[in-house]
Amino acid sequence: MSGDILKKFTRRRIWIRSLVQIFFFGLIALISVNHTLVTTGKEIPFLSSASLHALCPFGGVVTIYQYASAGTFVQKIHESAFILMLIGFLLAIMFGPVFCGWVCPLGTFQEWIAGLGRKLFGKRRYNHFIPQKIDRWLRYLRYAVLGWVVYMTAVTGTLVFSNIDPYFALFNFWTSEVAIGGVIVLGIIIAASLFIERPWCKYACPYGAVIGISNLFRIFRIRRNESTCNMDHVCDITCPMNIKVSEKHIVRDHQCISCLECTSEAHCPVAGTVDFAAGRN
Amino acid sequence: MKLTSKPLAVAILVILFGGIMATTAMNWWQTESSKVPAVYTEGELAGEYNPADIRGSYTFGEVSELFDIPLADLGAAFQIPAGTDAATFELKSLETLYAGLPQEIGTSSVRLFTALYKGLPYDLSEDTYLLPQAVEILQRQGQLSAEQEEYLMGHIMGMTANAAAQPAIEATSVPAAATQTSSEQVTDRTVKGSTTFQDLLDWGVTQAEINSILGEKMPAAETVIKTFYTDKGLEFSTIKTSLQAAVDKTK
Repeated sequence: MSGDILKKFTRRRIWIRSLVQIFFFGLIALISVNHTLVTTGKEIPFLSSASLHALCPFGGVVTIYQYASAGTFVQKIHESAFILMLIGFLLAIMFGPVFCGWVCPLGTFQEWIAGLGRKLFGKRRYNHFIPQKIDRWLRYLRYAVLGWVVYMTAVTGTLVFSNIDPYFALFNFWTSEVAIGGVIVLGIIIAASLFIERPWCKYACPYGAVIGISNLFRIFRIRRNESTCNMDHVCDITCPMNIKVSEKHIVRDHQCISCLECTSEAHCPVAGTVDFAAGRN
Repeated sequence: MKLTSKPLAVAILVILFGGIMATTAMNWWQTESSKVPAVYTEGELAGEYNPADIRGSYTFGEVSELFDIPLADLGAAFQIPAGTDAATFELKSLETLYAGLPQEIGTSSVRLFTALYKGLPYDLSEDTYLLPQAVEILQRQGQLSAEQEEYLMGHIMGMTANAAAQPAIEATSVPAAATQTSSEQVTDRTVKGSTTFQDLLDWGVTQAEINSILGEKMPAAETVIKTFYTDKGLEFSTIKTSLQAAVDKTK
């Protein structure tokens, strides 16, 4: 990919995705603040004051074993997390990991820092610091994290992930509930996001690992029309997850987050060449 | 069939919030504990609330209401500090209140007290401790069996120098039988409020086993396990059982 190609396009965001992301980030932030306010006798009216553990679909994943074996939930996990997990699975089967690309506030937060990283290092260098050979293997690290968290939760019956959970730390850094491990992981993510887009999602997120599998069989997929593709590699450059879209007919990469940044609606300059579509062709 | 960003956004919002609204309508959507304990399923007590299912998130007010125990008795039994509203005091906060004591006073203590106060069956195979004041109240109730009376005499929180520092406890009211010596605590291989990670190592539990149970690297060996756990905002009682099992395996 040459510098000329990079100059040909300006980064166009899909505004509706940004809007949805801001909405969910604000909603979760307000609920978290409300959760603190309730303990002081004040409350934002008409807004949930649920704990963030109750609103994280990954809580549903880690409690599956205990629910199946004892019919109860892991400490701090409630029915809502289980329901969100099922909704997340339904969305993933239909559209892929849209929860990551459109809803997750931690993903949004990393994207915002990425904007700063792009200004610091430029579009060409940003998000391309790690050699591909190493990066390819690091991408499977999140499955190791997933295995460890599920196993440890089953063995101890406690929410071990809360000790390192950056999502909880991001929205609870002002409370005594936050674990120092979570704050440290969040700090690492913030620093890494200046160099890499969505480092937590790529290398460590256990929930992303679970719903990332849906990329293998989802109904709506990212499809590239080879006959109209002019091989300018714009789709490769703009993919936040570094997927080589230009080398695929259908994107089945387990890291795709369905952000649509590579599509003809966003960055691909040729209409009808990279689409989000269902069906055989 | 192609989909663009706008219909996709609508689909995400409709499925997500539609799912939440539908499950709310069916009363499945719960973001906190129901605060209703499980009930006995067999025998003459079938249908009655089981104190064994009392959770740390319950307040004394809720326990009082659910089990019909006067709040004043609960407040006195657990020596809730003056100026604190016992009705809104969460049981899990007991572990913080009594962090300096040699034995754990926490949610399991409330479960035991509630069961014995109401004359309900309770598994006495585990070591659960009560404050002397709680034992006095139970004795006044006069519902204790000989076995329960004997159990309580061996499970009254021992008063030590640390305990004396707790403002909520009247040291003068401790029955003599309740006082344990430090040597008894050392030879007793029971994981309790004063147990350190070094104690576990001394009892033959390996560091790898401890790391595995904690889900993280063990801190400095002299760290008190309970302090380490409560500092994280977690209940000590949840990890105690796993650690005790590891200790028992080394016997």
